[in-house]
Amino acid sequence: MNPGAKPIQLSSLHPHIPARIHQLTDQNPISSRLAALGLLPGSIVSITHIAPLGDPIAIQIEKRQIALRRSEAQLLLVQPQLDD
Amino acid sequence: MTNNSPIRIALIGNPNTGKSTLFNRLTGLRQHITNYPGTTVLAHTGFSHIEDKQVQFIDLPGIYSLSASSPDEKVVFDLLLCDNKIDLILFILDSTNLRRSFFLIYQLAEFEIPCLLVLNQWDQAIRNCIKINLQLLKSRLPVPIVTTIARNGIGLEELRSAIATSLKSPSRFPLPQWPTIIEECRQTLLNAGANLSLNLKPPEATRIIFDSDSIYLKNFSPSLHSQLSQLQSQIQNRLRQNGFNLSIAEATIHYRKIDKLLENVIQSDGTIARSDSPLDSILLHKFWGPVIFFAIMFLVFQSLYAWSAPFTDAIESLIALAKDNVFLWLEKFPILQSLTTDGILTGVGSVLVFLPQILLLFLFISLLEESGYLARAAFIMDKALAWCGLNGKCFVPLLSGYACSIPAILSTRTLDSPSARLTTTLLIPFMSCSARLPVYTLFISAFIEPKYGPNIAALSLFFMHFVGPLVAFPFAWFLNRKLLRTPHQTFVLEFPHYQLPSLRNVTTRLWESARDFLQRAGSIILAISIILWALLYFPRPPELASKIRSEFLKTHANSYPSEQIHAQLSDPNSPLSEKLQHTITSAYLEQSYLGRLGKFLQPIFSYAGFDWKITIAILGSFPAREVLISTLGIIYNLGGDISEESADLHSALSSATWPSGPKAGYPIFSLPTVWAIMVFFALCLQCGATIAVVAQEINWRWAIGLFLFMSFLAWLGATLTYQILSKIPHFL
Ligand SMILES: Nc1nc2c(ncn2[C@@H]2O[C@H](COP(=O)(O)OP(=O)(O)OP(=O)(O)O)[C@@H](O)[C@H]2O)c(=O)[nH]1
Repeated sequence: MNPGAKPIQLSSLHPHIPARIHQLTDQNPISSRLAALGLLPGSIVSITHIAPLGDPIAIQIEKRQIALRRSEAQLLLVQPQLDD
Repeated sequence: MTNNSPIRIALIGNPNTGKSTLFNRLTGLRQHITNYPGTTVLAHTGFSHIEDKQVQFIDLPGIYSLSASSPDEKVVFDLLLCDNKIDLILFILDSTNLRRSFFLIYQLAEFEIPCLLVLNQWDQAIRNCIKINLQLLKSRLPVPIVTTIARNGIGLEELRSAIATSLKSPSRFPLPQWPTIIEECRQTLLNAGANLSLNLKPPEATRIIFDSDSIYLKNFSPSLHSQLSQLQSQIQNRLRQNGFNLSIAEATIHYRKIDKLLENVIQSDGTIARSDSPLDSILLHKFWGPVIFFAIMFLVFQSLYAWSAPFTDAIESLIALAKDNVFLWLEKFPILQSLTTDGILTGVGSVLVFLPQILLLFLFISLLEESGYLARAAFIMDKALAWCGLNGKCFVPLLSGYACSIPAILSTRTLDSPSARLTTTLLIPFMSCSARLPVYTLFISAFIEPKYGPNIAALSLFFMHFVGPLVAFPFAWFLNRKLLRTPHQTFVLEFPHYQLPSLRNVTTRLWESARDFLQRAGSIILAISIILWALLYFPRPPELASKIRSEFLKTHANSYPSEQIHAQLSDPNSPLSEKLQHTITSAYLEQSYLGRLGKFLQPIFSYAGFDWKITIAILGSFPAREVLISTLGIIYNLGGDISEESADLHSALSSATWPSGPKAGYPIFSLPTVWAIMVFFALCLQCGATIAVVAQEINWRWAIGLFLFMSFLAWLGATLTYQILSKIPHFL
C-alpha cells in the first residue's frame, strides 16, 4: 500500500494499475451520477480498455466494466496503488 | 385500492438487469409501447392476471439513480410521485451486482410504495462464482425477495405468487435514516413547503437538498421556483459548511447502509482480479476492434441494402399482380379503378415494402444487443459522434439510414439517452437512403457521364452520399451545443456479460417492431398515398381527353394517312395509341390539383433553375422519392412505367428547352439545374413514410417541423448550387 501517493485524475491513470478513489469534484452533477454507481472515495478502480480513438475509457469497479468519457473520468481523483 | 381501478405494478431497476425480459414473461405479447407524453422515453405497458385479478404491468426505463436531470429519471420520479398510481414496485436487481442495484432501492424508499425484490440473472451469479446468502439477506429486510432467471422463465411461478401475497399484505422498504443535520434540512424544506401551501413530499425534499440542477424544481411555477431555489442554496451552503461534499453525500450515506446490509451476504473471494472477458481483448483491441466492428457494420448494411431485395421484389410483384387483376375487374369504373390501384394498392405496397428491412435490421440489432456486443460497439464509436451531442450507440441507426430511414428511425428505440434518440431521429432522414439512388443515377447517367466520363460520374455519385451528413452533422452540433445547449449527458455504459442471444427476446423484438410499424405508421402512409392519389387524379374534366385527341389527330394528319391513324388508334397496343395515351396522361397530370400547385409554386423554385415540370415531379414524389422518375416519365409523355436507365427518358430530358422567357431555347436540364435537383433530393424530406414514422416515434409537431425545415434547406441548397454554378462559365 502506498497511501501517500499523490492523487491524479482517473483519466491520466495508466491502464491496468489499480488505484484507490481519493475524491470526487464537488458541485458537479456528473460527480453525483458517478457516486451513484459506487465510484466513491475508498473504492478501487483500474482502467481496463481505451477506445481506439482514445476516448472513452473502460474502467473496472468491483467486478464490472463501465465505460466513461475522459471528461467524466477527470472528475475522479485517484491514488495509484503501485506496490500492490 | 378501489375495485374498479386496475392494479398497477411497476418494474424498476438499473439498465440491463433483465426488466424487459421479465416484463415479457409476465405479460406475454399483450403489451403496448408508447412514448411518455412530451418525451422520447418509451413506456411499455401490458396486462396479466394474478390470481384472477387483472393487473397492469409497467416497464420503466432502466436508471442508475434519481439524482440527475435526465428525462428517464424524471419519468420514473413523476410516476411514483403521483398519488395511488402504483400499487406495487418490483425492484429488479442484477444478482451479479447487488451492491449497485440496492442504491436505487434506497433512493426510492421514501416514496413508501409497497415493494418486492427480484434478484434476476441468478444463473449469472452462479456462473461467476458469486455466492449469495439469501437466508441472511431475507432476515435483514422486511420485504419479500424472489430469485429468477428471466431469460429461461425460471422462478416465474414463485414471482407470481409472491406478487399475489404482496398485493394482499404489502410491505415497504425501510426509510433511510438521515444524519441529524440533513434531517433538519428536510424538515425546514417540508415546513417551508407547507407555508407556501405546497404539498411537498419527502422524496421531493430529498431531491431538492442533493440535486443542484434538479429538474423537479422546474415542475413549480416561476415564483415558487425562485423561492425554493433560494431555500435550496441556503440549505446547501449550510451543509457544505458542515463538511458535506454534496455530490457524493447521498451516495456515501446509502452505500454505507448497503455495505452493512450486504456484509457476509455476498461471499466475495476478496480478489480484485481483472474481470473483463478474454473476448474483450480482441473486440476492444486498438486495431482488431475497429476492423471487426466495421466488418459487422458492413454485414448489417449489406443485409439491408442487398439481402432485403428479393423479399422487397416479391412484395412488389405481388402488389403488381393484385393491381393487374383489380385493374381488369374495375375496367368499367375508372375512378374506382384508379383509386384502388394507384391509391390503395400502391399505398399498401409502399407500407409492406419496408417490412423486410425493418425485420432484418431489428434481427441484427437485437442479436448484437443480446450478445453484449452492442455496448462494445458504442464504446468504439463514441468519440466519433460525441462532438455533436450524440453517443456511440447512435452509429447503428445512422448507418442504417443509408439503406432506409424507416427501419433506422424505428431502431433509435435502442438508444437509452432520450436526447440522443431525438437528435438521431432527426438526423437519419439526411442520410442518403437507397430511394435517392435512382434519382442520382438518372441525372448522373443522363447529364454528367456523357460529358465527363464514368470516373467523374462515379465520383459525383459518391459525393452525393455525403451532402446530407455534411449539412446535418454541423447542424446537430449547432443545435445541441449552441442553441439548446443540451446538458452534456453523462455517458455511462456498462458492459454486459457476453452471452448467447435469447431467441425469445429476439423474436419478441421483431414481432413488436413489425406490429407497431404496421398499426401506426402503416395507416398514415396509406392515408398519405390516397390523398396524393386524389391530388393527382382530380379534377380530371372529360373534355380534356377529347381535346387532346383531336389536337393529336391534327398534328399527325400530315405524317400518316387518316385510315392508318384510325386503324392504329383502335388497337390500344399500337405505338400511336400508346403515344396518345401518354399525352393524355401527361395533360391530366398538368391540370390535376397537384399539377396546379406545382405551377403555383414554380416561381419559388425558379431560383433553383427548376421549370414547372421539375416542380410537379418533385411534389409528386412525396409518397416515395423514387416516384420522381415515373412522374418525369408521365410529364414527358413517356408514361409512368419507366426506369432511371431508360434511353427515351434521357433523350427527352436532354432535349427539353425553355419554351419562353429569358432562357428561351436553352436546355432546361443544364448542369447547374441538374446539380441543383440532386442537392434538393439529398436534403429534402420528400418521403411520406419517414414523416409518418417520425410522428410515430416523436410526435406530429416534430415531424411537420422537420419536413418544413428540410424542405427549406433543400430549396436553399438547390438555389445556392444553381446560382453559384451558373456564375461559372464552364457549366453553361
Ligand atoms: N443470463 C441471464 N441473462 C438474462 C436474464 N434476464 C435477462 N437476461 C439478459 O440480459 C439482457 C438485458 O435484458 P433486458 O430485459 O433487455 O434488460 P432491461 O433491464 O430491460 O434493460 P434496459 O432496457 O436497458 O433497461 C438481455 O440480453 C437478456 O437476454 C437472466 O435471468 N439470466
